Amino acid sequence: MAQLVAAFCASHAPLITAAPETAEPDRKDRLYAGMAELRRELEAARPTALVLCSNEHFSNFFLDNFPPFCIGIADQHQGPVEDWIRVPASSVPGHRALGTWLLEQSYQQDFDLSFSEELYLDHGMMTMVHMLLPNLDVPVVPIIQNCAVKPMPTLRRCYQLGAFLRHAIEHWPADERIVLMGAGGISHWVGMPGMGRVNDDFDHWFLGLMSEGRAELALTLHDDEIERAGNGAHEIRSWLTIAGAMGPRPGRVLAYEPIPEWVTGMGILTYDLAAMHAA
Amino acid sequence: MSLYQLQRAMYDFLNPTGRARVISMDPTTLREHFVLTDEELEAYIKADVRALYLLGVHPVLLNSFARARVPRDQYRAALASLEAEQATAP
Repeated sequence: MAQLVAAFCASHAPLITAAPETAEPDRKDRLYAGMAELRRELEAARPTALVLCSNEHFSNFFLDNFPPFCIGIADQHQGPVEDWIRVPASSVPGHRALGTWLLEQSYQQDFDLSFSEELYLDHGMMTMVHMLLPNLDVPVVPIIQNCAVKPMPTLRRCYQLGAFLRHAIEHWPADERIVLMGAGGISHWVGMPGMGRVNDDFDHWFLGLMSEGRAELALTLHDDEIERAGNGAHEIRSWLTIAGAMGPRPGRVLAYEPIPEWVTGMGILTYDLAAMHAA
Repeated sequence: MSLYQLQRAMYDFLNPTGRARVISMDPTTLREHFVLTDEELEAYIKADVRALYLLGVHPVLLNSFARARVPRDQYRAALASLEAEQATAP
């Protein structure tokens, strides 16, 4: 059977690549150090595929058809959509067999994912791919989540998606090593007054729950409570998806920096799965 | 008001080549493809962040559109101005 060998979460502000120099240098260095550590952990896990959950920014879907979740099952994915984020236009390898397995299993498990053979990867995924897989040597299965247009999938549904993903990965009859990652959030205001603010109280609270294995406590947040950390904070859905895969297992914060210049509370979190497999 | 059409034009502008119905800044061409008011047409062509926000464009779509068409400082200044107005509104 396939094995889940690592799980990560990270914020994905486009300015992390588009304008890194705008951040206060010490904050940027600490954040980049956390990202470098994440890359080392990723490489040490020797993955054969990355399942990457992130959110839709009107890069693939419009209001005529806006699915809660969509999995990309193609052999290749093009990105980035944005030509201003200083990430080279690339053809990112996909993993059709894994994507199809997850899609088919989702129907068996009453999850009904949408699917696409033509997903375009925007900054939400491409900043992560660029920083963590610069050689594009690990295939990516993208899962796009609606974290922007109401009604959005509930936080609990996203948590359940994570539990489903882990179950499906661990029951895939293939000799593969899979990494699961969520990219988005934490606090930020997007395209509205308040942009540039960071709610580090919210961020620390949320990271505390994630690092204590108590993310389930966040599932009852109402929209107005989330939006105290900005409309972009709805992207915690991608983090909660990974938390759902991990259950009560505690995470470890590799970095957190409020970076107003990147308009985002920037967090990076990992899970120690080596201990899980040794247990 | 034709907010859906305005947002559709913005979405098409942002889409990778080949998927959009039209990418144009020509008013006549735009009107052949989208039902837009004069105010919406002008806001779209000028990438007027303030006007687009007040017209009700979804913030995430507005952000993508502004990032693609408006200098960063100008974009942030437009939103800061709106925030200041909201703070002083009765």
